[in-house]
Amino acid sequence: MVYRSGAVNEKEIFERICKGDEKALEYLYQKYYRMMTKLVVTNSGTEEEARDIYQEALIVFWQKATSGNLVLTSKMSTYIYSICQNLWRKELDRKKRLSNEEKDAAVSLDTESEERERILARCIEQLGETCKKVLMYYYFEEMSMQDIAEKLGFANTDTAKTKKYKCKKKLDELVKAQYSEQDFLD
Amino acid sequence: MASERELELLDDYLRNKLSAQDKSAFEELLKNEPGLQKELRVQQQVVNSLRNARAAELKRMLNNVPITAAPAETTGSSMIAKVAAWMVVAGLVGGGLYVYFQSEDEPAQNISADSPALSPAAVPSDKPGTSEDNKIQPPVSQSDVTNESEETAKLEAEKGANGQSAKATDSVAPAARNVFEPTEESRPNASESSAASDSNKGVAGVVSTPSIAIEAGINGNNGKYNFHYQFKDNKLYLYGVFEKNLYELMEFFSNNKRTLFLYYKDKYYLLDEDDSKIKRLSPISDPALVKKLKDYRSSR
Repeated sequence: MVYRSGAVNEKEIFERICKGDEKALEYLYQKYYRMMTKLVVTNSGTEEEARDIYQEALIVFWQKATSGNLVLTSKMSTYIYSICQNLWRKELDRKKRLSNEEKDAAVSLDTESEERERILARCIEQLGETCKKVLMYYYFEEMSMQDIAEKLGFANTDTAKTKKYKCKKKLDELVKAQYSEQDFLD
Repeated sequence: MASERELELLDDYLRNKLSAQDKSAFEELLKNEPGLQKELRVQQQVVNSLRNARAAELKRMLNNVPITAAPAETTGSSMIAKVAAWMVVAGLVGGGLYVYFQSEDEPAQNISADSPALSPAAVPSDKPGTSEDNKIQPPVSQSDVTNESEETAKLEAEKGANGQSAKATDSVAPAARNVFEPTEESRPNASESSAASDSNKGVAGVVSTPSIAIEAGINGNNGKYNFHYQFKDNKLYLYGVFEKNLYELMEFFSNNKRTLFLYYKDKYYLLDEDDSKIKRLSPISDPALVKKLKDYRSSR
């Protein structure tokens, strides 16, 4: 007989998050959805803004945890809540500034950097699924090679390193080929 | 063109992995190497783009997670169904789940304890089974017909809400007086060793799809179901005021059979999944069993 409570052991969930377990992130997302979005909704935000802020906050939390840069000194919910508070405060400030300057705010579109971003996104899309994952885990989650190997089922950390190296090289080549076409390399 | 070594340094620099000393050394190097500066700019763009792509991917993932809780605002008269946060366990055999809920008022306490022995549902649901899109799921009053279409079920629900055609039994089936005498194998404490060996098989698992969804309802106006439960369509409905206090669902698996207990305000309730009638929640009074359950809870 097995008894496992999901009494969601805070520590266990946090450890899974640190390892980059997305299911644990989804779990947290659901668990605190009302609590976190309420913060925004009761502070003159819409349901949609609330969701955005909460998602952003959770992703900040996730990124810090997976990169090993987070030593949790409070409950996860407390921590995430404070990120939500900060993000929402910033957003409110931004809105306020925006409405003050609205009249003379000239939206300058940096077409070159937009074009660059499009190229980059296209290059990333051209990579295989595994390559994409390896590079994202490496640069966004900043996971260790050990964790990347485990998560993607590589034989060992050396495989992960080699994979990362090759994928990055491929991406660089793709990008540079495109960049030189557009003269972005100068 | 930057050397491999420089690229490596660059990489660590962009990921903030350099020590303060190495970092300033690298920045010093940068000053005198326009080629490296250019490379840094490109790499910065590439890495930022990867990061943005990943953040967008995570956002999409979160957007696809169904949010099943009802809106926070409740009115006294409306039926509110609130779906618990659930935690589920991978593996066919085993897993348990605990659900935290919050509830507001002390429910009526019923000391009678005539829960029948269980023959729990053999097949745990494998779909999330929760209402999507914040839909409020009205508690459904169950008629004798079990295979109703959804339409019919809805009608029944409305009638039930008006207290007109509710056919819920006020107490559980007139079965064994013995407060849940669990069989040796389904008794929570029965086989520590097998629990251990099962978890070695990887049950220690993953949060995945829930095995059951729970919805707690407030039915303020309807005195008839003030502390009741019902299994229907693989969901557990709780009737009564369960809003803000903590409650938990304890799920035990044994040979693919599930036995469920509800923990609420220091009392344990056996949940009979046999049929989909609305039954009153009656606390377990067998001190031995209560103690076992308590031990399990506190060991978590």
